[in-house]
Amino acid sequence: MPEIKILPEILSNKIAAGEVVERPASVVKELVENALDADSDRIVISVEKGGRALIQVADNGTGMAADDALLSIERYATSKIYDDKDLFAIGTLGFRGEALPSIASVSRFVLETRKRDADIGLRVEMSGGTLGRVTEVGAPPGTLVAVRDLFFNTPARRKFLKSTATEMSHISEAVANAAIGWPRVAFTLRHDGREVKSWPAANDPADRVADVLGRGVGGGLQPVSRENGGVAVSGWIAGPDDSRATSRGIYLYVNGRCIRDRMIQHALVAGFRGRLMKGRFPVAVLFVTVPPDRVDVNVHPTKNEVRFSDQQRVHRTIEAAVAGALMPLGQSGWRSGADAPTGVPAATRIETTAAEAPESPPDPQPPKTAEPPLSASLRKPAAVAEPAPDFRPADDAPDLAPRPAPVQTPVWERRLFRDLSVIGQFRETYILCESDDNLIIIDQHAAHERIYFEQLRFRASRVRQASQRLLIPETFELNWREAEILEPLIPAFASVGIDVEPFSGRTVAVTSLPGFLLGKPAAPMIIEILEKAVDIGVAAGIDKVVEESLMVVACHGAIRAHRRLSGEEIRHLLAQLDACENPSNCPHGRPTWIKWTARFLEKTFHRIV
Amino acid sequence: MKFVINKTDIRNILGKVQGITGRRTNLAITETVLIQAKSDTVKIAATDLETGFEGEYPATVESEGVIAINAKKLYEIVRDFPSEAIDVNEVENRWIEIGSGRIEYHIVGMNPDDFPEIPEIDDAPLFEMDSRSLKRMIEKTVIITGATDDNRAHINGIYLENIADDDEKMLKMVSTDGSRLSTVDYPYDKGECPIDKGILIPKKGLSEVLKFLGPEKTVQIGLKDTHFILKKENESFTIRLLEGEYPNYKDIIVRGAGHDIPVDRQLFLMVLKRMSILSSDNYKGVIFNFDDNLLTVRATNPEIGESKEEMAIEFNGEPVEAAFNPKYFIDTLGVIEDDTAMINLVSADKPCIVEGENDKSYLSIIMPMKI
Ligand SMILES: Nc1ncnc2c1ncn2[C@@H]1O[C@H](COP(=O)(O)OP(=O)(O)OP(=O)(O)O)[C@@H](O)[C@H]1O
Ligand SMILES: [Mg+2]
Repeated sequence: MPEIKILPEILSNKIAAGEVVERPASVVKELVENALDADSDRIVISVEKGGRALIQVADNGTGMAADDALLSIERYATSKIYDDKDLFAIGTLGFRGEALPSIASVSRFVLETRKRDADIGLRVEMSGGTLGRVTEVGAPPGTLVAVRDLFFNTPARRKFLKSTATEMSHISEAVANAAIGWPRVAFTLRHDGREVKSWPAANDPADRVADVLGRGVGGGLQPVSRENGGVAVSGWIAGPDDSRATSRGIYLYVNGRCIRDRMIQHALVAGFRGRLMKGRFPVAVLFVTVPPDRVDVNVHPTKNEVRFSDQQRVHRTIEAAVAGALMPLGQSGWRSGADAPTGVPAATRIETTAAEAPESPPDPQPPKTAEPPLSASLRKPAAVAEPAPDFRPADDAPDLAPRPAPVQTPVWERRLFRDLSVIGQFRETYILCESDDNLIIIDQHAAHERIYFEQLRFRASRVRQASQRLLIPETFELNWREAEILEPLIPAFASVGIDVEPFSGRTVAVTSLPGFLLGKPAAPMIIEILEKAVDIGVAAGIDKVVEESLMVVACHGAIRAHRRLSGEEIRHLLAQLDACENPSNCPHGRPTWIKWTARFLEKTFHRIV
Repeated sequence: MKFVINKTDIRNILGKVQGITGRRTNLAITETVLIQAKSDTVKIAATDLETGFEGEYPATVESEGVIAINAKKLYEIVRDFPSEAIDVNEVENRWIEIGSGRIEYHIVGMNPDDFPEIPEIDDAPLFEMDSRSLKRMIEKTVIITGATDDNRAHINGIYLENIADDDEKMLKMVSTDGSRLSTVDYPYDKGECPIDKGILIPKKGLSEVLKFLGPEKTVQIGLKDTHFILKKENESFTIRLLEGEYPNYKDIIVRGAGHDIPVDRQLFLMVLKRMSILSSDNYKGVIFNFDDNLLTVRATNPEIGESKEEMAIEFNGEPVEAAFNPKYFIDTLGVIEDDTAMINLVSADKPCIVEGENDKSYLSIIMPMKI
């Protein structure tokens, strides 16, 4: 490691001085980063009482010479950058020369360090920022920093520390962040003498990721990789089924630095292309590499924010990388999946089904909802949540519902929706189908939304289709925010066949509509779009707003739940699903279909254990 | 309660009320018909809470009473019943026996007290009109409908207006779906129509009425509070009016600078029916090109293919081109009674008027599509 220099004053002013130490986890983060910058391959973090009592980080890195060790605790002393130019091309995690002095000023601080080739190490003690004893000490090569009684001299801040468990979870998070970014380094985290985490050095970064994310991702990780004009994206993402309610499963690294970044997170979610439900977050580890001079890391005192000089390219590359990685998941693989039975001979299946099924051919009509029409005079409103299934004993209610007759199993694998054999419609909302040993349940509204959404996208991008002019234009009033945001959206509306024109004042008129939206009021839809657009803000990019708008349009055009579909309509819907790029999720990310395996049903009925 | 009724009679009635009893409401009892046996008739009632029907039919009543029985089940039983006379008998509390002897069905009825009340017509002033004309008026207007889940009154309802000037009196029905609009007139000189202001009658209810308009010569219509009423000798309907504004349709019907182009109704209809072979959900439009005595109709559907048909017409104005949904023309040409239809087209973005050559009581306005 080069020797430590004091930064020239001008430069030091350029560096955002600020709060480095927010809580014990920030100390861990800074010390671990220093250890990483010092080329360590083994880092042991020991914490007591959630970091209140002790935070100690020991590494086997380069260590410091005696004079450097004394310099390191001075403000703006860094071995990592020398002048302006370096500041804009930072390749190390630290660069401000601020961490150690900041930490030392709010704790009882001990630094022990020994250069590999030195005979003896140095021990520096500080308390509340004042230098105490400096002694020579026998120590292993590397550096150990012990931080005791954090915030002992700033009681107000000490009061703000949360419970041990909370602080510990932040610390684990900080260590995990580092561990994922530096797979070749072994990490150990101890709390109150107990080993909490231990990640041995991993040769394959994927092993480390799997190690850290652990059991959380059931569906496995998809590798991500893409390069575009100097921007490289790599990493792993879990499929939409493993989504989380918070963004805490997202690990983002820019040039090795773990950061939080809204733009990257947005690009990541955008890459899921509607496979995620609103408010859900993916599990992902993404490494973004850009030339150091194209990213500013000196944005925030905690160094966990960056600014790119070419935001758009980064966004596009990430989105495309993620979308590409998810591609294989888009297929309707009801034969894949953990609980799908494998290798059940077709002949056996047919035999058993034949034995159970009644002789009569299947009734093309779906079984009517079991509703004794003559008992209750007040029918429950459709919106009421489904009560627990009423499993009457078999002898009380003979099972009159038609069962699917045996079907010929084709030699080839069936994967297309249109190849499903339709059993019927349930509650005029779900389409029940059979595929091999699986019961496939399709949400008709979600599926149709997906179909319209993709058609609209196609229509907006390529094909001009005629739309119907309205004889009686629909007029309605907007509030000023909606009226304002409508203006830039007019061409986008027109591209999908919706013509909206300012009428007078804040009144607008819809003058033409695409065929599938005819015969329905357009005002609620337009207003919903504009409300969304106001929410998102045009600043987020017109594309984003248009995408959201298409979702709303698709939703309004799509067949609703509680609508009886004819057999013809169902088959048409399935065929259209096959034409979709992502048939498995509605544009909002809800699944369009789910599967119950025969095995699951057998288990539920205790036919097998 | 016990009565014997003629199979054909009850079968026909039950068949015709299925549209009412089959409609989903939030009351299960609307799936039933209310049957009331009294002296020598049975009264049958059905309602979907919007449209109420009541009819009175001769029957041999052995004992009086009232039942509410599932209309669909009863219809299915009666429809293929092997004998001409059908016994209906409430054996005990709501346990209804249909048939007797070798063929016996027992159906559980519902509590007739729960059956929704159907407004009484009693003394409402009525206007007598030709039954066949009313039937045609409804037929010509109810074909224009919106989506099932649309609840805008002006789309769900037919506007009925009584225009009584000094020199002419007529009833006018107007129907629209937002893209097209049709009007049908019924001029009259006898009687006074009690419908003084324009009213909005649900299309759904009128289509149910349609099934009952038959051989009788006249029917009576009127208003009772918020209901449109229609009465035949032994049957009556009450339909709850829709509330809402109706667009000023007179402003929409403007005969502009366009040419009146006569076309052979049948020929044109056939052209359009063939043309719509190529229309799909996404591609509905066909292009009309009126040029020197020639109408060319073209359809292009990237999903299917293309088609072109030519038809000789009498036209020598400036060439005009406009795109239309052929279905709208098919509907209209299908109800025009003259052999020659007149098309008045101004431009690609102005409404097009279609009517009969001589019979001006029906008129349709169709908005072009935008390409
Ligand atoms: N574990 C360590 N091993 C070797 N050198 C270290 C270690 N920790 C700190 N140093 C040296 O001490 C200097 C000061 O560290 P400090 O963390 O205060 O600043 P920095 O890492 O340069 O910048 P920043 O404030 O951004 O972290 C570093 O530049 C480095 O030379
Ligand atoms: Mg540092």
